[in-house]
Amino acid sequence: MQEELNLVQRARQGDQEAFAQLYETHFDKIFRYVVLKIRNQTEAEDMTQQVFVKAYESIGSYQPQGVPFTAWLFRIAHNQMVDYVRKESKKPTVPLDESLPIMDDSDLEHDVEIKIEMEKVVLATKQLTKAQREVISLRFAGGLSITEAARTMRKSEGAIKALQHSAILSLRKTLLAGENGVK
Amino acid sequence: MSSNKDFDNIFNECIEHLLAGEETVGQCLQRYPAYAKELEPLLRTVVLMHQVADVKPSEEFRARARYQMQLKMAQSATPPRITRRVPRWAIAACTAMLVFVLGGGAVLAAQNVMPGNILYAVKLSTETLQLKLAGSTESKTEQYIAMANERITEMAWMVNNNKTRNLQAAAYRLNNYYTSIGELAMTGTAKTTYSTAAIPAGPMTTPPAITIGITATPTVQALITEPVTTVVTNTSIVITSTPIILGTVNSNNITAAGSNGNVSNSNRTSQLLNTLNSNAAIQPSEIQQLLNSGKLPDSVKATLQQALIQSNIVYQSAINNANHQ
Repeated sequence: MQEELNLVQRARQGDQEAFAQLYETHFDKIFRYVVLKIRNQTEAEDMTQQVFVKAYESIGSYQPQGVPFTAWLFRIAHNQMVDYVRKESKKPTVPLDESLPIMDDSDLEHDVEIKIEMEKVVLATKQLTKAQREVISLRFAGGLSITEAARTMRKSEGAIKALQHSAILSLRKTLLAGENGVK
Repeated sequence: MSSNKDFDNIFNECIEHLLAGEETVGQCLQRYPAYAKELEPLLRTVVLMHQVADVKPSEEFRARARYQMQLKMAQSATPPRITRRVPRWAIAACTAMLVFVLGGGAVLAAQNVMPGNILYAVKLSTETLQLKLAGSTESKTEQYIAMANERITEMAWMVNNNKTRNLQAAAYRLNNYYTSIGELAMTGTAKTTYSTAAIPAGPMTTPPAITIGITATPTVQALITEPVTTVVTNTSIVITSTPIILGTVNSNNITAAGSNGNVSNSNRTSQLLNTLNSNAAIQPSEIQQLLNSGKLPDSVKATLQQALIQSNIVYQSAINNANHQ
Protein backbone atom coordinates (compact mmCIF):
# COMPACT_ATOMS: atom_id res chain seq x y z
CA MET A 1 0.00 0.00 0.00
CA GLN A 2 2.80 2.35 0.98
CA GLU A 3 4.62 1.30 -2.14
CA GLU A 4 1.65 2.29 -4.28
CA LEU A 5 1.43 5.60 -2.49
CA ASN A 6 5.08 6.26 -3.34
CA LEU A 7 4.47 5.36 -6.96
CA VAL A 8 1.49 7.68 -7.07
CA GLN A 9 3.51 10.53 -5.59
CA ARG A 10 6.26 10.00 -8.13
CA ALA A 11 3.76 9.73 -10.99
CA ARG A 12 2.16 12.99 -9.92
CA GLN A 13 5.55 14.64 -10.27
CA GLY A 14 5.85 13.38 -13.83
CA ASP A 15 7.78 10.16 -13.22
CA GLN A 16 6.71 8.05 -16.20
CA GLU A 17 8.28 4.89 -14.87
CA ALA A 18 6.16 5.16 -11.74
CA PHE A 19 3.03 5.63 -13.80
CA ALA A 20 4.01 2.67 -15.96
CA GLN A 21 4.16 0.50 -12.82
CA LEU A 22 0.73 1.67 -11.72
CA TYR A 23 -0.53 0.95 -15.20
CA GLU A 24 0.79 -2.62 -15.11
CA THR A 25 -0.71 -3.21 -11.67
CA HIS A 26 -4.20 -2.07 -12.56
CA PHE A 27 -4.53 -2.81 -16.25
CA ASP A 28 -6.13 -6.25 -16.00
CA LYS A 29 -8.52 -5.17 -13.25
CA ILE A 30 -9.78 -2.20 -15.21
CA PHE A 31 -10.18 -4.30 -18.34
CA ARG A 32 -12.19 -6.96 -16.47
CA TYR A 33 -14.38 -4.32 -14.87
CA VAL A 34 -15.07 -2.62 -18.19
CA VAL A 35 -15.63 -5.80 -20.18
CA LEU A 36 -18.11 -7.14 -17.66
CA LYS A 37 -20.10 -3.95 -17.76
CA ILE A 38 -20.21 -3.20 -21.47
CA ARG A 39 -19.91 -6.73 -22.86
CA ASN A 40 -18.16 -5.74 -26.02
CA GLN A 41 -14.53 -6.69 -26.26
CA THR A 42 -13.48 -4.14 -28.86
CA GLU A 43 -15.19 -1.31 -27.04
CA ALA A 44 -13.84 -2.55 -23.73
CA GLU A 45 -10.30 -2.54 -25.09
CA ASP A 46 -10.67 1.01 -26.38
CA MET A 47 -12.20 2.14 -23.15
CA THR A 48 -9.50 0.52 -21.02
CA GLN A 49 -6.92 2.47 -22.97
CA GLN A 50 -8.92 5.66 -22.59
CA VAL A 51 -9.12 5.16 -18.83
CA PHE A 52 -5.35 5.07 -18.52
CA VAL A 53 -4.80 7.94 -20.92
CA LYS A 54 -7.26 10.00 -18.88
CA ALA A 55 -5.55 8.92 -15.66
CA TYR A 56 -2.17 9.89 -17.08
CA GLU A 57 -3.46 13.28 -18.14
CA SER A 58 -5.11 13.94 -14.80
CA ILE A 59 -2.70 12.41 -12.31
CA GLY A 60 -1.01 15.75 -11.75
CA SER A 61 -4.18 17.11 -10.21
CA TYR A 62 -5.05 13.94 -8.27
CA GLN A 63 -5.04 14.42 -4.49
CA PRO A 64 -4.12 11.16 -2.67
CA GLN A 65 -5.54 12.39 0.62
CA GLY A 66 -8.97 12.74 -0.96
CA VAL A 67 -9.51 9.23 -2.27
CA PRO A 68 -7.23 6.17 -2.72
CA PHE A 69 -5.64 5.80 -6.14
CA THR A 70 -7.53 2.59 -6.95
CA ALA A 71 -10.86 4.23 -6.16
CA TRP A 72 -9.88 7.27 -8.22
CA LEU A 73 -8.95 5.07 -11.18
CA PHE A 74 -12.19 3.11 -11.01
CA ARG A 75 -14.16 6.33 -10.81
CA ILE A 76 -12.55 7.38 -14.08
CA ALA A 77 -13.54 4.03 -15.57
CA HIS A 78 -17.05 4.41 -14.22
CA ASN A 79 -17.40 7.91 -15.65
CA GLN A 80 -16.12 6.76 -19.04
CA MET A 81 -18.67 4.00 -18.96
CA VAL A 82 -21.51 6.37 -18.11
CA ASP A 83 -20.57 8.46 -21.14
CA TYR A 84 -20.38 5.35 -23.27
CA VAL A 85 -23.75 4.03 -22.14
CA ARG A 86 -25.31 7.41 -22.76
CA LYS A 87 -24.03 7.41 -26.34
CA GLU A 88 -24.82 3.77 -26.99
CA SER A 89 -28.24 3.62 -25.39
CA LYS A 90 -30.00 4.08 -28.71
CA LYS A 91 -27.96 1.48 -30.56
CA PRO A 92 -29.07 -2.18 -30.82
CA THR A 93 -27.48 -4.65 -28.41
CA VAL A 94 -24.42 -6.48 -29.65
CA PRO A 95 -25.03 -10.20 -30.16
CA LEU A 96 -23.37 -12.56 -27.72
CA ASP A 97 -20.80 -14.02 -30.10
CA GLU A 98 -19.43 -10.62 -30.90
CA SER A 99 -19.58 -9.25 -27.42
CA LEU A 100 -17.95 -11.62 -25.01
CA PRO A 101 -14.27 -12.30 -25.24
CA ILE A 102 -12.91 -15.76 -25.95
CA MET A 103 -11.04 -16.82 -22.85
CA ASP A 104 -8.54 -19.15 -24.40
CA ASP A 105 -8.05 -20.48 -27.89
CA SER A 106 -7.00 -23.94 -26.79
CA ASP A 107 -10.42 -25.45 -26.24
CA LEU A 108 -13.20 -24.12 -28.38
CA GLU A 109 -15.91 -26.32 -26.90
CA HIS A 110 -14.97 -25.27 -23.41
CA ASP A 111 -15.00 -21.64 -24.53
CA VAL A 112 -18.50 -21.98 -25.90
CA GLU A 113 -19.70 -23.52 -22.63
CA ILE A 114 -18.15 -20.72 -20.67
CA LYS A 115 -19.69 -18.16 -22.99
CA ILE A 116 -23.14 -19.64 -22.49
CA GLU A 117 -22.61 -19.66 -18.74
CA MET A 118 -21.30 -16.14 -18.88
CA GLU A 119 -24.31 -14.99 -20.82
CA LYS A 120 -26.66 -16.48 -18.25
CA VAL A 121 -24.88 -14.74 -15.43
CA VAL A 122 -24.60 -11.47 -17.32
CA LEU A 123 -28.33 -11.60 -18.09
CA ALA A 124 -29.00 -12.28 -14.44
CA THR A 125 -27.03 -9.20 -13.46
CA LYS A 126 -29.51 -7.16 -15.49
CA GLN A 127 -32.07 -7.87 -12.81
CA LEU A 128 -29.89 -6.12 -10.25
CA THR A 129 -30.16 -2.50 -9.27
CA LYS A 130 -27.49 -0.12 -10.57
CA ALA A 131 -25.79 -0.01 -7.18
CA GLN A 132 -25.82 -3.81 -6.84
CA ARG A 133 -24.35 -4.20 -10.34
CA GLU A 134 -21.65 -1.68 -9.55
CA VAL A 135 -20.66 -3.52 -6.37
CA ILE A 136 -20.53 -6.84 -8.20
CA SER A 137 -18.41 -5.37 -11.01
CA LEU A 138 -16.02 -3.65 -8.64
CA ARG A 139 -15.66 -6.64 -6.34
CA PHE A 140 -15.55 -9.59 -8.74
CA ALA A 141 -14.18 -8.06 -11.92
CA GLY A 142 -12.19 -5.16 -10.54
CA GLY A 143 -10.97 -7.17 -7.57
CA LEU A 144 -11.55 -4.29 -5.17
CA SER A 145 -11.81 -4.88 -1.45
CA ILE A 146 -14.90 -3.81 0.47
CA THR A 147 -13.05 -0.72 1.63
CA GLU A 148 -11.91 0.21 -1.88
CA ALA A 149 -15.38 -0.39 -3.32
CA ALA A 150 -16.83 1.78 -0.56
CA ARG A 151 -14.44 4.62 -1.38
CA THR A 152 -15.11 4.29 -5.09
CA MET A 153 -18.88 4.39 -4.64
CA ARG A 154 -18.77 6.93 -1.83
CA LYS A 155 -20.70 4.60 0.47
CA SER A 156 -20.03 3.03 3.85
CA GLU A 157 -18.44 -0.42 4.08
CA GLY A 158 -21.61 -1.70 5.71
CA ALA A 159 -23.65 -0.48 2.75
CA ILE A 160 -21.30 -2.24 0.31
CA LYS A 161 -21.55 -5.50 2.26
CA ALA A 162 -25.33 -5.25 2.27
CA LEU A 163 -25.45 -4.48 -1.46
CA GLN A 164 -23.11 -7.37 -2.16
CA HIS A 165 -25.23 -9.75 -0.13
CA SER A 166 -28.50 -8.71 -1.73
CA ALA A 167 -26.93 -8.80 -5.20
CA ILE A 168 -25.67 -12.37 -4.76
CA LEU A 169 -29.00 -13.42 -3.36
CA SER A 170 -30.81 -11.90 -6.32
CA LEU A 171 -28.39 -13.47 -8.82
CA ARG A 172 -28.88 -16.84 -7.19
CA LYS A 173 -32.65 -16.55 -7.46
CA THR A 174 -32.55 -15.46 -11.08
CA LEU A 175 -30.15 -18.23 -12.08
CA LEU A 176 -32.20 -20.80 -10.22
CA ALA A 177 -35.37 -19.59 -11.90
CA GLY A 178 -33.62 -19.90 -15.26
CA GLU A 179 -32.53 -23.47 -14.51
CA ASN A 180 -36.08 -24.41 -13.54
CA GLY A 181 -37.49 -22.78 -16.64
CA VAL A 182 -39.33 -20.11 -14.71
CA LYS A 183 -39.66 -16.78 -16.42
CA MET B 1 -30.39 -8.39 13.49
CA SER B 2 -27.21 -9.46 15.21
CA SER B 3 -27.46 -12.80 13.52
CA ASN B 4 -27.84 -11.11 10.15
CA LYS B 5 -24.79 -9.00 10.85
CA ASP B 6 -22.82 -12.10 11.80
CA PHE B 7 -23.93 -13.79 8.65
CA ASP B 8 -22.94 -10.79 6.52
CA ASN B 9 -19.50 -10.75 8.08
CA ILE B 10 -19.02 -14.49 7.69
CA PHE B 11 -20.29 -14.36 4.14
CA ASN B 12 -17.94 -11.55 3.31
CA GLU B 13 -15.00 -13.24 4.98
CA CYS B 14 -15.62 -16.36 2.89
CA ILE B 15 -15.86 -14.24 -0.26
CA GLU B 16 -12.52 -12.63 0.51
CA HIS B 17 -10.88 -16.03 0.93
CA LEU B 18 -12.50 -17.36 -2.23
CA LEU B 19 -11.49 -14.36 -4.32
CA ALA B 20 -7.95 -14.55 -3.01
CA GLY B 21 -7.87 -18.25 -3.86
CA GLU B 22 -7.03 -19.08 -0.26
CA GLU B 23 -10.01 -21.29 0.38
CA THR B 24 -12.58 -23.44 -1.41
CA VAL B 25 -16.32 -23.29 -0.82
CA GLY B 26 -16.06 -26.60 1.08
CA GLN B 27 -13.35 -25.31 3.40
CA CYS B 28 -15.38 -22.24 4.20
CA LEU B 29 -18.48 -24.29 4.95
CA GLN B 30 -16.44 -26.52 7.25
CA ARG B 31 -15.42 -23.49 9.26
CA TYR B 32 -19.00 -22.33 9.67
CA PRO B 33 -21.16 -25.46 9.80
CA ALA B 34 -24.02 -23.60 11.48
CA TYR B 35 -24.38 -21.38 8.40
CA ALA B 36 -23.40 -23.97 5.81
CA LYS B 37 -26.86 -24.51 4.39
CA GLU B 38 -27.46 -20.83 3.86
CA LEU B 39 -23.91 -20.06 2.78
CA GLU B 40 -23.37 -22.75 0.18
CA PRO B 41 -25.69 -21.59 -2.63
CA LEU B 42 -24.50 -18.02 -2.22
CA LEU B 43 -20.85 -18.97 -2.27
CA ARG B 44 -21.39 -21.14 -5.35
CA THR B 45 -22.92 -18.10 -7.03
CA VAL B 46 -19.92 -16.02 -5.99
CA VAL B 47 -17.56 -18.59 -7.55
CA LEU B 48 -19.59 -18.57 -10.76
CA MET B 49 -19.63 -14.78 -10.84
CA HIS B 50 -15.91 -14.66 -10.23
CA GLN B 51 -15.29 -17.11 -13.07
CA VAL B 52 -17.44 -15.06 -15.39
CA ALA B 53 -15.58 -11.92 -14.48
CA ASP B 54 -12.16 -13.51 -14.77
CA VAL B 55 -11.53 -12.38 -18.33
CA LYS B 56 -7.95 -11.77 -19.29
CA PRO B 57 -6.95 -9.29 -21.95
CA SER B 58 -5.32 -10.93 -24.95
CA GLU B 59 -1.55 -10.65 -25.24
CA GLU B 60 -2.01 -8.82 -28.51
CA PHE B 61 -4.24 -6.20 -26.89
CA ARG B 62 -2.00 -5.96 -23.87
CA ALA B 63 1.01 -5.29 -26.11
CA ARG B 64 -0.89 -2.80 -28.25
CA ALA B 65 -2.28 -0.94 -25.26
CA ARG B 66 1.11 -0.79 -23.56
CA TYR B 67 2.65 0.56 -26.69
CA GLN B 68 -0.04 3.23 -27.08
CA MET B 69 0.48 4.26 -23.48
CA GLN B 70 4.22 4.54 -23.98
CA LEU B 71 3.61 6.58 -27.07
CA LYS B 72 1.29 8.88 -25.16
CA MET B 73 3.89 9.32 -22.43
CA ALA B 74 6.64 9.89 -24.96
CA GLN B 75 4.59 12.54 -26.73
CA SER B 76 4.04 14.41 -23.52
CA ALA B 77 7.71 14.24 -22.68
CA THR B 78 9.26 15.47 -25.90
CA PRO B 79 12.69 16.87 -25.21
CA PRO B 80 12.08 20.63 -25.13
CA ARG B 81 15.40 21.72 -26.57
CA ILE B 82 14.70 20.32 -29.96
CA THR B 83 11.17 21.49 -30.36
CA ARG B 84 11.99 24.97 -29.21
CA ARG B 85 15.33 25.59 -30.79
CA VAL B 86 15.36 23.64 -34.01
CA PRO B 87 12.20 24.04 -36.07
CA ARG B 88 11.33 21.26 -38.48
CA TRP B 89 11.81 23.44 -41.51
CA ALA B 90 15.27 24.37 -40.32
CA ILE B 91 16.44 20.79 -40.18
CA ALA B 92 14.88 20.11 -43.56
CA ALA B 93 16.56 23.18 -44.97
CA CYS B 94 19.89 22.20 -43.42
CA THR B 95 19.66 18.77 -44.96
CA ALA B 96 18.89 20.21 -48.36
CA MET B 97 21.62 22.83 -47.95
CA LEU B 98 24.23 20.29 -46.93
CA VAL B 99 23.34 18.09 -49.85
CA PHE B 100 23.45 21.09 -52.18
CA VAL B 101 26.66 22.64 -50.93
CA LEU B 102 28.62 19.49 -50.37
CA GLY B 103 27.35 17.58 -53.34
CA GLY B 104 25.75 14.93 -51.21
CA GLY B 105 28.85 14.23 -49.20
CA ALA B 106 27.04 15.16 -46.05
CA VAL B 107 24.41 12.55 -46.70
CA LEU B 108 27.03 9.88 -47.09
CA ALA B 109 28.92 11.21 -44.11
CA ALA B 110 25.76 10.87 -42.13
CA GLN B 111 25.61 7.16 -42.83
CA ASN B 112 27.75 6.21 -39.91
CA VAL B 113 26.88 8.90 -37.44
CA MET B 114 25.33 8.04 -34.13
CA PRO B 115 22.73 9.85 -32.02
CA GLY B 116 24.14 13.02 -30.51
CA ASN B 117 26.05 13.97 -33.62
CA ILE B 118 24.93 17.03 -35.58
CA LEU B 119 24.68 14.96 -38.75
CA TYR B 120 22.31 12.53 -37.10
CA ALA B 121 19.38 14.70 -38.15
CA VAL B 122 20.59 14.39 -41.74
CA LYS B 123 20.71 10.64 -41.40
CA LEU B 124 17.15 10.50 -40.10
CA SER B 125 15.78 12.84 -42.71
CA THR B 126 17.47 10.87 -45.47
CA GLU B 127 15.89 7.69 -44.16
CA THR B 128 12.55 9.42 -44.26
CA LEU B 129 13.11 10.51 -47.81
CA GLN B 130 13.91 6.95 -48.77
CA LEU B 131 10.76 5.79 -47.07
CA LYS B 132 8.74 8.24 -49.08
CA LEU B 133 10.38 7.08 -52.27
CA ALA B 134 9.70 3.45 -51.51
CA GLY B 135 6.60 3.10 -53.64
CA SER B 136 5.50 -0.47 -53.06
CA THR B 137 4.44 -2.12 -49.84
CA GLU B 138 7.46 -4.43 -50.17
CA SER B 139 9.90 -1.54 -50.49
CA LYS B 140 8.34 0.29 -47.58
CA THR B 141 8.52 -2.82 -45.42
CA GLU B 142 12.16 -3.29 -46.34
CA GLN B 143 12.90 0.32 -45.56
CA TYR B 144 11.32 0.02 -42.13
CA ILE B 145 13.35 -3.14 -41.52
CA ALA B 146 16.52 -1.31 -42.51
CA MET B 147 15.65 1.55 -40.21
CA ALA B 148 15.01 -0.91 -37.41
CA ASN B 149 18.48 -2.36 -38.02
CA GLU B 150 19.90 1.12 -37.81
CA ARG B 151 18.24 1.86 -34.48
CA ILE B 152 19.38 -1.47 -33.04
CA THR B 153 22.96 -0.77 -34.15
CA GLU B 154 22.78 2.69 -32.64
CA MET B 155 21.43 1.37 -29.37
CA ALA B 156 24.22 -1.19 -29.17
CA TRP B 157 26.73 1.60 -29.78
CA MET B 158 25.13 3.81 -27.12
CA VAL B 159 25.14 0.97 -24.61
CA ASN B 160 28.77 0.14 -25.32
CA ASN B 161 29.80 3.76 -25.01
CA ASN B 162 27.65 4.56 -21.99
CA LYS B 163 25.71 7.20 -23.88
CA THR B 164 22.26 6.55 -22.57
CA ARG B 165 20.60 9.90 -23.21
CA ASN B 166 19.19 9.04 -26.62
CA LEU B 167 18.43 5.38 -25.95
CA GLN B 168 14.77 5.95 -25.20
CA ALA B 169 14.21 7.88 -28.44
CA ALA B 170 15.82 5.08 -30.45
CA ALA B 171 13.74 2.48 -28.63
CA TYR B 172 10.52 4.37 -29.34
CA ARG B 173 11.44 4.69 -32.99
CA LEU B 174 12.14 0.97 -33.17
CA ASN B 175 8.72 0.26 -31.72
CA ASN B 176 7.14 2.58 -34.24
CA TYR B 177 8.81 0.83 -37.16
CA TYR B 178 7.47 -2.51 -36.00
CA THR B 179 4.00 -1.03 -35.75
CA SER B 180 4.30 0.22 -39.32
CA ILE B 181 5.62 -3.14 -40.56
CA GLY B 182 2.63 -4.79 -38.89
CA GLU B 183 0.21 -2.33 -40.47
CA LEU B 184 1.77 -2.82 -43.88
CA ALA B 185 1.44 -6.58 -43.50
CA MET B 186 -2.19 -6.36 -42.46
CA THR B 187 -3.52 -3.60 -44.65
CA GLY B 188 -0.89 -2.87 -47.25
CA THR B 189 -0.57 0.64 -45.88
CA ALA B 190 0.95 2.06 -42.75
CA LYS B 191 -1.94 3.95 -41.20
CA THR B 192 0.40 5.88 -39.02
CA THR B 193 3.53 7.16 -40.63
CA TYR B 194 6.06 6.07 -38.08
CA SER B 195 9.13 7.24 -39.85
CA THR B 196 12.11 8.78 -38.19
CA ALA B 197 10.79 11.97 -39.62
CA ALA B 198 7.27 12.79 -40.66
CA ILE B 199 6.76 12.74 -44.38
CA PRO B 200 4.75 15.38 -46.14
CA ALA B 201 1.90 14.34 -48.37
CA GLY B 202 2.08 15.31 -52.00
CA PRO B 203 4.70 15.14 -54.73
CA MET B 204 8.34 14.73 -53.94
CA THR B 205 9.15 18.09 -55.45
CA THR B 206 8.28 19.66 -52.11
CA PRO B 207 10.92 19.76 -49.44
CA PRO B 208 10.33 17.19 -46.72
CA ALA B 209 9.06 18.38 -43.37
CA ILE B 210 11.05 16.74 -40.67
CA THR B 211 10.41 15.95 -37.06
CA ILE B 212 13.45 14.97 -35.16
CA GLY B 213 13.51 14.15 -31.49
CA ILE B 214 17.24 14.07 -31.11
CA THR B 215 19.33 16.86 -29.72
CA ALA B 216 22.05 17.94 -32.06
CA THR B 217 25.44 18.67 -30.57
CA PRO B 218 27.48 21.55 -31.96
CA THR B 219 30.21 19.40 -33.43
CA VAL B 220 30.69 18.67 -37.07
CA GLN B 221 32.09 15.39 -38.20
CA ALA B 222 34.56 15.19 -41.01
CA LEU B 223 32.63 15.18 -44.21
CA ILE B 224 33.29 12.45 -46.64
CA THR B 225 32.88 13.40 -50.25
CA GLU B 226 31.91 10.61 -52.50
CA PRO B 227 29.66 10.40 -55.51
CA VAL B 228 26.06 10.41 -54.51
CA THR B 229 22.82 9.55 -56.15
CA THR B 230 21.00 12.53 -54.68
CA VAL B 231 20.94 15.90 -56.41
CA VAL B 232 19.27 19.11 -55.46
CA THR B 233 17.54 21.51 -57.77
CA ASN B 234 16.53 24.73 -56.10
CA THR B 235 14.54 23.63 -53.10
CA SER B 236 13.56 20.29 -54.55
CA ILE B 237 15.28 17.08 -53.69
CA VAL B 238 15.23 14.55 -56.47
CA ILE B 239 16.62 11.10 -56.22
CA THR B 240 17.94 10.06 -59.57
CA SER B 241 18.37 6.40 -58.88
CA THR B 242 16.98 3.85 -56.51
CA PRO B 243 17.63 4.86 -52.92
CA ILE B 244 20.45 3.33 -51.03
CA ILE B 245 20.24 2.37 -47.44
CA LEU B 246 22.30 4.66 -45.32
CA GLY B 247 23.96 3.81 -42.12
CA THR B 248 25.78 0.84 -40.74
CA VAL B 249 23.47 -2.04 -41.10
CA ASN B 250 24.72 -4.90 -38.99
CA SER B 251 26.80 -7.25 -41.03
CA ASN B 252 24.61 -10.11 -39.94
CA ASN B 253 21.44 -8.37 -40.98
CA ILE B 254 20.32 -8.87 -44.50
CA THR B 255 18.40 -6.16 -46.25
CA ALA B 256 17.00 -6.20 -49.71
CA ALA B 257 15.87 -2.59 -49.54
CA GLY B 258 17.16 -0.33 -52.24
CA SER B 259 17.72 -3.14 -54.67
CA ASN B 260 17.06 -2.14 -58.20
CA GLY B 261 15.92 -3.68 -61.43
CA ASN B 262 12.81 -4.82 -63.14
CA VAL B 263 11.93 -7.70 -60.95
CA SER B 264 8.67 -9.57 -61.33
CA ASN B 265 6.09 -9.47 -58.58
CA SER B 266 6.84 -13.00 -57.47
CA ASN B 267 10.55 -12.26 -57.37
CA ARG B 268 9.82 -9.12 -55.40
CA THR B 269 7.74 -11.05 -52.91
CA SER B 270 10.38 -13.72 -52.64
CA GLN B 271 13.02 -11.05 -52.07
CA LEU B 272 10.90 -9.53 -49.32
CA LEU B 273 10.36 -12.94 -47.80
CA ASN B 274 14.13 -13.46 -47.63
CA THR B 275 14.57 -10.11 -45.93
CA LEU B 276 11.78 -10.85 -43.49
CA ASN B 277 13.02 -14.34 -42.66
CA SER B 278 16.59 -13.19 -42.13
CA ASN B 279 15.68 -10.28 -39.92
CA ALA B 280 12.97 -12.15 -38.05
CA ALA B 281 15.72 -14.43 -36.82
CA ILE B 282 18.27 -11.73 -36.07
CA GLN B 283 16.56 -8.59 -34.81
CA PRO B 284 14.69 -10.10 -31.86
CA SER B 285 17.87 -11.81 -30.68
CA GLU B 286 19.78 -8.53 -30.94
CA ILE B 287 17.09 -6.76 -28.95
CA GLN B 288 17.30 -9.55 -26.40
CA GLN B 289 21.05 -9.03 -26.19
CA LEU B 290 20.50 -5.36 -25.48
CA LEU B 291 18.00 -6.28 -22.78
CA ASN B 292 20.50 -8.70 -21.28
CA SER B 293 23.28 -6.13 -21.29
CA GLY B 294 22.29 -4.90 -17.85
CA LYS B 295 23.10 -1.36 -18.93
CA LEU B 296 19.66 -0.14 -19.90
CA PRO B 297 17.63 2.20 -17.72
CA ASP B 298 14.33 0.62 -16.64
CA SER B 299 12.23 2.91 -18.82
CA VAL B 300 14.21 1.94 -21.92
CA LYS B 301 13.99 -1.70 -20.91
CA ALA B 302 10.20 -1.51 -20.87
CA THR B 303 10.11 0.05 -24.32
CA LEU B 304 12.56 -2.49 -25.70
CA GLN B 305 10.64 -5.38 -24.20
CA GLN B 306 7.65 -4.02 -26.04
CA ALA B 307 9.72 -3.84 -29.22
CA LEU B 308 10.77 -7.45 -28.70
CA ILE B 309 7.17 -8.61 -28.43
CA GLN B 310 6.18 -6.50 -31.40
CA SER B 311 9.08 -7.73 -33.53
CA ASN B 312 8.02 -11.35 -33.06
CA ILE B 313 4.38 -10.59 -33.83
CA VAL B 314 4.89 -8.36 -36.86
CA TYR B 315 7.56 -10.48 -38.50
CA GLN B 316 5.34 -13.52 -38.21
CA SER B 317 2.42 -11.58 -39.58
CA ALA B 318 4.46 -10.11 -42.47
CA ILE B 319 5.95 -13.52 -43.33
CA ASN B 320 2.50 -15.13 -43.35
CA ASN B 321 1.23 -12.34 -45.53
CA ALA B 322 4.11 -12.62 -47.99
CA ASN B 323 3.72 -16.41 -48.12
CA HIS B 324 0.12 -16.03 -49.16
CA GLN B 325 0.86 -13.68 -52.01
